[in-house]
Amino acid sequence: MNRRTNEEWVQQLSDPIDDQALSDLREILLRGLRASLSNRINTDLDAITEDFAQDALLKILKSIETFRGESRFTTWAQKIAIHVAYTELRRRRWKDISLQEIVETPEGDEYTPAILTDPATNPEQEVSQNNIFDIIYNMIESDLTERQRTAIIAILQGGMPIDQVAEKMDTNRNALYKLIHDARKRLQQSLEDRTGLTAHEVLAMFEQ
Amino acid sequence: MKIEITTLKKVLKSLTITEVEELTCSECFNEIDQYVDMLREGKSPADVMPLVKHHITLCPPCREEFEALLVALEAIDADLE
Ligand SMILES: [Zn+2]
Repeated sequence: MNRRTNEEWVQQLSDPIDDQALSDLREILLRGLRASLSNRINTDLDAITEDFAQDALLKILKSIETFRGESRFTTWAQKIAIHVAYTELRRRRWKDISLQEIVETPEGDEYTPAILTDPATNPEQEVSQNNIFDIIYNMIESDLTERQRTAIIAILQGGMPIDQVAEKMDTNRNALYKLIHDARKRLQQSLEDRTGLTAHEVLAMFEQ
Repeated sequence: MKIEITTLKKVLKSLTITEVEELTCSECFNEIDQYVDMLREGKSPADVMPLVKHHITLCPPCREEFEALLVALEAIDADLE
């Protein structure tokens, strides 16, 4: 196969498209996809990677003008193929599982806080290994919006990928990332307000 | 809502790596090819793109795709040699 420069790739894959370049790129994507998916897909690997490569090629041709040349063209193209494939695999894996199901049915032991009153009303309270989980539990219950709480529990407890949670919450991955980022910043501040300690200092109490 | 004790620990851990400025998934995706190329050329992309490094540490799907991309590129290179 010819090695091409970035400029050659872009030129040959823009209108009028060079058939040889297209077929070479397809072959490259297939090799990459096969290697990265071989330990995740047991049956029909070839047929599945063909589909992913086809979808990826369409996406690449459509967005070729957005390639900024900051990486090798093949790296850029392959990242799109991987994204197409992995997004679809995550969707298939989680499509039949509802958010409700994931946040209401923990696999491990459910935590029952010892103190049901909100420790925020008692800021002088000293933090210890015994009550830190009550504090975090109460922060999750009282400092977050319902959507923030649902997203965080679905991801951290249910192991559901952020793009799948976003789909089920009728939003997109970026908006949900921002929502969760805001939630984490809020909790970080709340933890400091309630304990006088940073998250690092609190965590260190367990790692002694 | 039912919360497990391991979840409380995970929340606490996530707070230790929460930064004021973070990349969203799309912003990370936009830069990950450059990051990966630098990594494969033996450079230290984390020095130049610390926010990308941070995002893939924190975000499992983006980390998964980053790792898969490395495997894919290794395979392509091996074939072309
Ligand atoms: Zn991400």
